[in-house]
Amino acid sequence: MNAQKLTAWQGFLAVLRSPWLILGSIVASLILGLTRPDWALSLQPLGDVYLSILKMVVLPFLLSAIIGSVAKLVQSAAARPYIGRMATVYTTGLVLTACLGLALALILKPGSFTSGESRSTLGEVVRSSKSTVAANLEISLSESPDQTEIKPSGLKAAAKYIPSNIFEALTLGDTLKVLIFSVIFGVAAGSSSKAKEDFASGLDFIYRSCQTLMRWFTYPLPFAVFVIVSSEVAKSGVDYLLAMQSFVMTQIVATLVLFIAATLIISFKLKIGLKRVIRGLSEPALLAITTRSSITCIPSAIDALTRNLKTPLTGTELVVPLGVTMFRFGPAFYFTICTVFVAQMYGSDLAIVDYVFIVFASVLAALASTGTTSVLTISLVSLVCVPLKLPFEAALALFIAADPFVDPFRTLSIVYGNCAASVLVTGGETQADENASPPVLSA
Amino acid sequence: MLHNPLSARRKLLKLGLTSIASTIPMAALAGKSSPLAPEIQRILDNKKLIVGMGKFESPPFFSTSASGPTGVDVDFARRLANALGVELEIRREAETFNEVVEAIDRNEIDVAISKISMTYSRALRFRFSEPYLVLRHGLAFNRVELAKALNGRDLATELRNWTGEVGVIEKSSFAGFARIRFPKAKLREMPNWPELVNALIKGDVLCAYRDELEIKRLARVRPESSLVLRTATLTDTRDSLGMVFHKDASQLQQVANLFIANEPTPLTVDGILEKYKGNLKI
Repeated sequence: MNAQKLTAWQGFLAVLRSPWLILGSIVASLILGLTRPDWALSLQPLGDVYLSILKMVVLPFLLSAIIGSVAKLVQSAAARPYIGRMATVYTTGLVLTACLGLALALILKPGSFTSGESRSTLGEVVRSSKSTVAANLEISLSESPDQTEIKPSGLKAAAKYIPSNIFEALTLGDTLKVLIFSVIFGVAAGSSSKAKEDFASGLDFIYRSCQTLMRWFTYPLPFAVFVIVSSEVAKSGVDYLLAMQSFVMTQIVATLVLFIAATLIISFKLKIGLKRVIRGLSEPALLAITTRSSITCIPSAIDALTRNLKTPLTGTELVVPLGVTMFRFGPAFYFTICTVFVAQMYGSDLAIVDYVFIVFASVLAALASTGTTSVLTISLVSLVCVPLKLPFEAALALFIAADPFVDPFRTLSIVYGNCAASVLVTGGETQADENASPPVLSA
Repeated sequence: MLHNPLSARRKLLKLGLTSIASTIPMAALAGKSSPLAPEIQRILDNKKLIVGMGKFESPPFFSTSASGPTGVDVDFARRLANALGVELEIRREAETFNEVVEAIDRNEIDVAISKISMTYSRALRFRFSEPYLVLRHGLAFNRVELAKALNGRDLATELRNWTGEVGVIEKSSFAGFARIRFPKAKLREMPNWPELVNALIKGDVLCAYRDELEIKRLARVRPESSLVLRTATLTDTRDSLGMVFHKDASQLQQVANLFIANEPTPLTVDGILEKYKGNLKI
């Protein structure tokens, strides 16, 4: 009897984890959000609660995973090839994704509107925008120009990533500073020889508890998807989506190409079937689309890679958090598409040199987007547009308004792209190939 | 100073009285005490308030809609007549703003409510109410040309020493303002507003200079222009609009001032554009 009950319960849990159920709830949430926006909006607090629960695990998880994996790599002296491979994989990956965005933007021409009606709709969005950059500007002619503002130098910019107080960084949820601290601390922990066992088992305990929590929290994902997506759909206007459809479509196609390429890379490197790759990574992928926060997906991505695809623990635990936080494939193609969109909208002609510039500036903007979300990420498009003398302000309002539709795919590209990158960095090894030395952290 | 309960009570009583008084039409109070000022007596005798406005259309201040005249100034006139307890007659015969004001001297109208700017030359000959709306100056830039001209520099800083182009309507007051505000700028004078706007959208002119209401109205009337045009308001400029009376009509002026002071929410440019958004086109 008891055994039967258990299997029924396990069956229920298996249904909850089925990607089909989640896809079904995405469809249901679209229907609710479009037909009964008032109901959908009343569900929003539930969605916020779920997002907070997910984010709760992220910081202790990052801290324990990175310190543990760096310490282990330093001990086994296996870190050196990783550093070289990370540099190659991420530089090539970011440049290629930026080129992908550029090519798609030139083929699909998201910025050339033919209908005057959609221009009016978009103009209305710019006029009513709350962004001071896009809408009316208030200027005083008599005030003397502000002399105190000095442009931050490269050194100063770097200084803001160094945590002067790790507890403050943890309190404020400053992921990048926590990461940097964890790497440095992990190096120190790996180099010192005393009391390593207690420290390692303590870290391991935190890490494993976080993973268990994460697994529990992903059970209600189908409901969370329903609640979050329906309220997002209810908030954003459909008229507007129609006017910006080619822009949103270009972004989705770019994500799709990246998704296919990443799946092929993982399948080829790990020598497993495409279906198994997609199925194995479906949870972090769906979580990315739902939460639109790449950081939140890190625990799930590591779990899916190491458990379902059997990638090496130590390497994955180190590379995925660093990659997702710092090397963001989504923003790389996002910025190229946005820049070409602006040029097309204003009928500005770009030369070959300009296109080369767009690719490299977009990669730099993607790197600069570390630690930013949504609106802040989007505003970095100015880094690419200003040197080209393209007016980005009005388009910024359009990008912000379109972001509820684009952000899920940008996040998916960051998370899924980094899953493939981590497989490349760890050299396509699986857990069977992993070093003979007993793992410090085992999940 | 110590708090005095007696004076506080008196103040309250006074406040109560004024608020009652402001709700009773003036006609009901007429003839009960001292004789009325001649301009008030004349309105009450005629049983109508005659308000002058331009013959031309100037939305959202005054324009002709399917349901008759409409706009900020028309609403003011209507409510002022109500407060006086008389009928309203709107006279729209003058061809220019100046002609509207001239009609006061010929005793053809009691008051001019017609988007009249409070200028020194008018103040020498007429009586103004308190301003019922303060407009600031506005600029609209062609975004593409502006991005080229600025090249990454800050607009506010550049504008204080503007050496670029400024487009204005030929011989308008803004042509004069532009010479004072932007002495180093290259002035581009166009015969009328629609031509200036078209040149601006095409990028033939870098920017257009006019009052903030006209600048913001542009985005309402031609929504697609927001993609191409960037607007700015100059916060330290003033163009006050007031009602205009005969130089002897101090009592009527006081009634209008009280009326403006009692407005529950002061008028704002954005509020006006939102309220009259259906009647912004000429």
